[in-house]
Amino acid sequence: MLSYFANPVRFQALSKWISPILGIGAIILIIPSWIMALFIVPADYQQGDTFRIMYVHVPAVFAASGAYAFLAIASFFSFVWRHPLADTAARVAAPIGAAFTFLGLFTGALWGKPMWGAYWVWDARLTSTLVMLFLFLGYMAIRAAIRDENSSARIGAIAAMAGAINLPIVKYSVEWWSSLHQSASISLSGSEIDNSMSTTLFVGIIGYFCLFGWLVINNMLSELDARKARALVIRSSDQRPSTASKQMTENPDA
Amino acid sequence: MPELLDFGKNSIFIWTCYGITILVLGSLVITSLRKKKMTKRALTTVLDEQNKTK
Repeated sequence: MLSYFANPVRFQALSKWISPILGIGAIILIIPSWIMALFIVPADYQQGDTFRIMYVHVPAVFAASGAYAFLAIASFFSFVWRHPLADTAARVAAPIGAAFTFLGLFTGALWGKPMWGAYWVWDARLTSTLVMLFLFLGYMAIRAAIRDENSSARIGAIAAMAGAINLPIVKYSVEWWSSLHQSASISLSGSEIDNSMSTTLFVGIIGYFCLFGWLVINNMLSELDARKARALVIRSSDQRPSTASKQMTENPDA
Repeated sequence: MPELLDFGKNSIFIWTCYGITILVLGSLVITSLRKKKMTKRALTTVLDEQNKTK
């Protein structure tokens, strides 16, 4: 089934349907979750209004971990089957994942200051999340530094797969080590917080995943168009230099 | 600050978090849409030029 969807033409046809659904899903889930979080959900009995940061912090960290899992899986498919579409998926997912991780760390720091009295502590959860940001940035640096496409894809995939060891550390760090960071408030088995709070949080998390999916698909379509344009320019460059080929040579990422 | 938007002494932390989130997510969306538009335009230009030469 995966090889069926790994065809770029089928992927482009399928993404025409999935992309608007994810885009609309992101808007109708994220914005109401923020409105609920800021104006409707009651203040926490211990943390007061500061806990409202949770509605931008937790979805960002969930989406960041999901993005890294996606990067590692796409890298695995790219490494084993050497499929360019899987490699494209991995490459476009990394900067998005890095942005989500940055948001998780930044909002966490601003939540930590009024709650813990410090923006940052070298706690296992915080440190492993920082490592995740470096893994995303490292992957992006590898892809940017190696000019040969095949080597870049293979070395990047190895780095991304090796970095996946950090994912369970991020998840279970609060259980494995004594941590200032609180343990999970929501899990598959249930929620430790009030229904109005957990529902708002859950809606936000799904919204962030929809946004991640929309961004990945949109950026993959851009990459495919850029590759197609580059291939056409290279094919025709022997015949006659043109305005378009000049444009593509000067700005290959456009 | 209107009462609805005032979260007391920690307002600055809460609004900064939401502000930076909107900024980062908005930038991701705008960059993605702009890149798609630019690559589509570049591809159309290449295809048009190739059609002219045929």
